[in-house]
Amino acid sequence: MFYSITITAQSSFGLSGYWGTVQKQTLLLNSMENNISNYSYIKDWGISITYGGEFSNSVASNLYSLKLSKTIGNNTITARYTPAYQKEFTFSNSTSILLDSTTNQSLNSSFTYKELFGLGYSYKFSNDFSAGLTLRFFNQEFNQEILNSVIKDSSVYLDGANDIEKINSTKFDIGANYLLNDNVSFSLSSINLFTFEDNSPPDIEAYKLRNDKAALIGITYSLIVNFDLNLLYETTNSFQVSSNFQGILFNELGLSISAFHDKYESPFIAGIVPSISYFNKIFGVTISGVKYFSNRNTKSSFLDFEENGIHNIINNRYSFDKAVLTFSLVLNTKPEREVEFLGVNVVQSIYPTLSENYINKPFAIGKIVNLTDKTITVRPACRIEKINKEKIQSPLVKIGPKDTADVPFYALIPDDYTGNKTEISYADFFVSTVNENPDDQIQKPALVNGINSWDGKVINLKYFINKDLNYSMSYCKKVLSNHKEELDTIAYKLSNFYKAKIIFNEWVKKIVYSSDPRASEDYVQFPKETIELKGGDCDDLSVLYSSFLESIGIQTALIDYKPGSEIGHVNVMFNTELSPGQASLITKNDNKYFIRKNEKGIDQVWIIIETTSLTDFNTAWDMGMEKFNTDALNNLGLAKGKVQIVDVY
Amino acid sequence: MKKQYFYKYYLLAGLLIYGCNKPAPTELIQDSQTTDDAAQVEVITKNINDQSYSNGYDSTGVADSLIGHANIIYVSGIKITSKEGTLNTSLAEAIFFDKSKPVKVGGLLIGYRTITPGIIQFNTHRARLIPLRVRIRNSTADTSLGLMYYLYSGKRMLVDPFQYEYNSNIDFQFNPLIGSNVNFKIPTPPEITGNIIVEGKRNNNLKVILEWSHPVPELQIEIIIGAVVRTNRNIFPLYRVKTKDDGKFLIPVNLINQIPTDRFNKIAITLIRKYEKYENNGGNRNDIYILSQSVHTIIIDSP
Repeated sequence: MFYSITITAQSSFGLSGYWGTVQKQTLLLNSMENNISNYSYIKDWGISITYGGEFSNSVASNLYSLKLSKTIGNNTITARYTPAYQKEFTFSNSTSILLDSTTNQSLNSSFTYKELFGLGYSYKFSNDFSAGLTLRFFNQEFNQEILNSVIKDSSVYLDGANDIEKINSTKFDIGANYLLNDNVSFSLSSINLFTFEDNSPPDIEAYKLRNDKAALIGITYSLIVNFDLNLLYETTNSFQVSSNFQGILFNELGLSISAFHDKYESPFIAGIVPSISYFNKIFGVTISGVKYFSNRNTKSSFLDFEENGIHNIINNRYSFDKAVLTFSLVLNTKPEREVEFLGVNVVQSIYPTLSENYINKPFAIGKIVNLTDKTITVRPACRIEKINKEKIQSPLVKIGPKDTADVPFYALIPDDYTGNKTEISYADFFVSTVNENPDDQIQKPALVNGINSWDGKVINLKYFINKDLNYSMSYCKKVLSNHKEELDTIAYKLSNFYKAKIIFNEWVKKIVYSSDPRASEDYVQFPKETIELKGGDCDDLSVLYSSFLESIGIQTALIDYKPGSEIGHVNVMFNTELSPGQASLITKNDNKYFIRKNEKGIDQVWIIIETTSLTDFNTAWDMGMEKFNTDALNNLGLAKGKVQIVDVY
Repeated sequence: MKKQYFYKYYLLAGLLIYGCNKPAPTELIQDSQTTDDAAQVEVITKNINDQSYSNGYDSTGVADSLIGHANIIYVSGIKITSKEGTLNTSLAEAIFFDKSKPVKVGGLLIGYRTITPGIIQFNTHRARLIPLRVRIRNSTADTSLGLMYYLYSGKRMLVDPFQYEYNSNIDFQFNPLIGSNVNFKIPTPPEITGNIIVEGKRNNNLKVILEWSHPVPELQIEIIIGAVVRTNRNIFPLYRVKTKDDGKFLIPVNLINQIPTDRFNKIAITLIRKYEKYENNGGNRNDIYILSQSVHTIIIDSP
């Protein structure tokens, strides 16, 4: 009854031709057949409807495809319903029923091939590379009207009965896209990689859609901006060439024409698919047509069908010319990204105690590009893991259209931060524009030091001095109250000097000199820690003494003996608030004080204390002044910058 | 405003739903190379309670009523194969009706009165005159329409010397009572010898393949599928199949499956290769129908 025919399944033919890999977002024209990897520019939702007509002796209109796509992150899924992807062949069986001498009733059969629906998935590995897969579901129905003899109530008659075989099959294919540069992109896909099919009777086997495996190779070359040349080649020796221009007339019109060679059709170029599109940022409308260069008839030879078969449901030697209208709509519930990071450079490590440093000086610089055609204001922000719970906003920055700018990121260390370990943490950098959600974000490692860590700059010791100011005040008041009677007898103008002396002599009795636990200068104890630990090195003791004096209103400064051939050192100097003429009240030796102007520009007497002497105030004073006179004055340390006086306030 | 959108959506949905037609199918035309199994099937016995359908079929292989023609000359080589073996018979008949004298029973035309206008010879053997019997519907009695010319050799005791030679010619001679003699040769087809191959069982992948000898592909062959009544061995010719005489035919299995086994216990399949000639000399009152056929009937148990 049936004969061996050759039928292979869908290949790369699309009803709107081939628009290449690079396509305007709202057009959604490339079908699952020529875009097996499902590469898509959709950022959120995409819907497209293709409705059209096929022109045989009459016009049969139908819904060719209803497609829904959704992008979540780097994942895009697509579902497609294709009610008009079908082809039917009818023929009279060789058996007929002779009703009487003149009337003959033929028995008719039909083969119907349908692609019902498809599912696609793609993953964007990077802006240049994506890969995906398709699952497409087919149904083939072989309806044979067979001779049926009926003997019922003694009557004998013949009629036809339908013997229907239905075969469902699922085809699985994979593909990938690679954008080499702005001008060239490639695609590589499989055809019929895996087919899962219902069992079928042996006599149907020869008529099923064939599952010949093949590869599909696509190349898109942008000759000029928005003008692409495309080639799709199937390893079965069929191919399509197309060119498309997306951006004519106010950048809202597109034109495309595809010509295809089908191994199973004639002439060599079997037909063309011209398309014209209008598109904007929300929707696209495309009118396409399929014009075959050979005559198409509604009747054809069974023998011819038997020998050549069909290889594609919607494009084969029996297909008719078509015209289709595709309406596509892009719905973005997610805002458009207007800026993105090109990179972030963390320029300094985090020393939590030096928090004010980061308010004035960025700890990271981000390179950010404006993706839009307008000047936009960028809101940078960052959050350092383990330090910040909330994002810390940095100042707004304006960036010109398509421009790139360096954007500073500032850190804010909360006062209650207590982390004492130095470790590698991560900083999240955000950049946003008009949207609440960031347009882009990036994470970088950042070194976060412990709260006792110091960057070695004497000027930054003031943060350690200020940290325990309440403790210092409490300590000093307690000490001074024990010397109330003594202080009451002293002239007010000498109170700073004597308070400093009493306090020094009090704490120095309990403290021993000890180097940093880590034998380095980058570890500084807070005053309370030094008292509790009963020891410290020069910077710890200087911080302690300075903090004590500052807490009771005595102005202090640190003397930074910068490291040269010798190890660096720190001493404390404080303002006695005596005038130079009153210096003799505390010493007859002119080398034991130093005249500095106060905030109002008035000269006042300052004395230098070597806090590491740990003997008594006078000895520490002598040692401090001696070193100062030698290194700062006699050896011109102050003039040469080898010695620097750093005011705590 | 909302109503406007509402109606637009309904209009669009309506267009999509009602504007959908199935794509036009392509009709495939059968080519001569693809019609080897082409067959026309016809019901002969429309009522298996009507005994008239079984009239004469078992012996002549002629299932049709011959009363439509005015003059009939019929020669046949007949083989009947059953479990008991194969019986060869030869048959020659000539019937001439007087169309002006119809015979009706109960208002039903059953034939015409016959005439015997002279002497008929087949291969020089003079045909005998015997009564032409027609079985009236559901009646056991035969009614004679008159006489017909008849030669027969086969199983019965009265055996004529006539032998049907296959793939040859039979000399026909008519010596009328008035007028000149008429002589012509009746060609005979090659002998047909069939074989039935049954695979599977009724309603269970049953396949009935019919093969026969000396195919003549340019001719058509007739296959009569009959059912043998369990009680009286009468054969009802149920279906006639016309197909190419190419030596093989797969019988549509439904034709066999539907034969009720409670009433019919055997199946008779008759292969008929025939040469026929029809001449109409001045209307159907004077037409002549000449039929020469090789017949092989094979009776098997109902599968």
